[in-house]
Amino acid sequence: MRQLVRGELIKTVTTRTLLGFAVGGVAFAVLNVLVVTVASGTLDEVAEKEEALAGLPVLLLLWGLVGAAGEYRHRTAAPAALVGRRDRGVVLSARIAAYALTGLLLGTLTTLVSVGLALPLLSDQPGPGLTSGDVGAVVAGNLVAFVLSAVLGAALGALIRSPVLGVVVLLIVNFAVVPLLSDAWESGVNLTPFGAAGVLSRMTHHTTLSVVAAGWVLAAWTVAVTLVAVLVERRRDLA
Amino acid sequence: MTSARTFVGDPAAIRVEGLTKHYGRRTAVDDLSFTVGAGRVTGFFGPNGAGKTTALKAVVGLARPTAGRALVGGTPVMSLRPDARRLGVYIEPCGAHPGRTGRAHLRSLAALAGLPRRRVGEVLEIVGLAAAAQRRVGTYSMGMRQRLGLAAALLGDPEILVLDEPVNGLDPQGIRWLRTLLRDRAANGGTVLLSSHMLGEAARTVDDVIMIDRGRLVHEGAIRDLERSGGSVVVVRTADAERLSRLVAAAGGRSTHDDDGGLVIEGLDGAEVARLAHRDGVLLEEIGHRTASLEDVFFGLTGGADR
Repeated sequence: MRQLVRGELIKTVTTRTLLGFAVGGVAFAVLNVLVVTVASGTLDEVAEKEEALAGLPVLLLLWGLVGAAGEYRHRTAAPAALVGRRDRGVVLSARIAAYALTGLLLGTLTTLVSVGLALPLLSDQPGPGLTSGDVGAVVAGNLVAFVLSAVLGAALGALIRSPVLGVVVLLIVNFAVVPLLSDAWESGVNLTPFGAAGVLSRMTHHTTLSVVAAGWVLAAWTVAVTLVAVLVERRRDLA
Repeated sequence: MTSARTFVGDPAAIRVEGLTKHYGRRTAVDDLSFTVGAGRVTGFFGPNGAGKTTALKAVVGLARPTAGRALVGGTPVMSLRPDARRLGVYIEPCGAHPGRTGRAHLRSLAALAGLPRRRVGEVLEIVGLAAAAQRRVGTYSMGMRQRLGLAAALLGDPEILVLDEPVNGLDPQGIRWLRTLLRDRAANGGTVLLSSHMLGEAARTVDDVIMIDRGRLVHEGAIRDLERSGGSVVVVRTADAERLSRLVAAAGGRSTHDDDGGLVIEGLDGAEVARLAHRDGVLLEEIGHRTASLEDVFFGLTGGADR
């Protein structure tokens, strides 16, 4: 399994896609910190201050989805399956693990940027400040959300097999369907992967779902979709 | 690096039994059976759309047959663990991300296959891509992508090579290089199954031929037999064609008249025809050979060149 993960890791780090996502992630982190700390007025609650440190898990969802679906678009999944010495489901599991590791890398980078930029700016805000425990909890929540989102994205990519279709559907759901539904049925939306990731990363606060519960919800979705993807991969033809 | 190969229990390196593959209502491969002998180069021919690639995908385990099965070294391919040391596969396109370098593509495959990293450099040298290894695949010509695909197939120095249209995009030098490479592998006991729709060129490389059309087998056998059956024919001109026809028939041959008024004789060689004519006093005005091309045989077997 280690050699499979190594082979898949080589794939994930040897195209410019990783660099593109790293630049995009850092740009978003900077933008989010500036919008929340400078353009959002006074932040006098801890939850508001935590939002300045929030990451964008959907970016990691896209990372996994684009990468894994691209394996079918560029027909790179077939050569991997032909040399892997394990069944296709195991090869896909190794691929998903590689996206989890690179997701952790991307998540760590963007979180470091958020924390490094936000903490000095937040020190001028009134009200209770963020303790090191608060910051640690936000960082941990973000990293969990990033890794699970990357895994979920890779599993979805393996199921959808089309990066363009996957990205379009994902963006519509995340930026149109979920916000529309959340006004009407917030507790239900929190049980979707998007809602749970928002709570876990602190992008969403004052919700009925606790951060820990959000972690379990996102983990349950991730495990379920990954299992389906692995089972389907074993049965479907490879181009 | 190729060493002598043996297959325990089955003299055929690849055996296909009643292979059928449907895509919805369309039948891509229809009850196809054939064998590929160990240590031989076998050509898998058919017109475009005949089902060659689909059949090869089923043979290597990428496509699940609707019915039938493929055995590699006597074991059903669907129950085999994929192994680059046993089976090297190239199926178009080359399966490399355009944004990745050729070397990185092969490094990832070598890691997945559990092969040493030095093997990447070796196969890059073998296929003549060492100088372009650091370039992104998106900048490669079609011939270079073809060579990269072949490098991936050769990574594990496999017992069996399955290559889909490997000649496509190669320049004449590349075609000669590939022919030598494949013949060398067969000489060392390796087995090669290669598909092509360019019969003339591929025929110079192969020992055996499998021809399919519309997903069905139309011919299987040695290339020599096919050439012989297609025929080197004898063409003569004589004023006494009827008598010569009777003599030819009595000697076990067959004769027909061609469009130019010549008598086309099959089943006898030129010397035999000349002896018959001399013995019975038939004056031959002209005698010669005409070799039916393999394309002619192919079109005859698959139902015509105009499709």
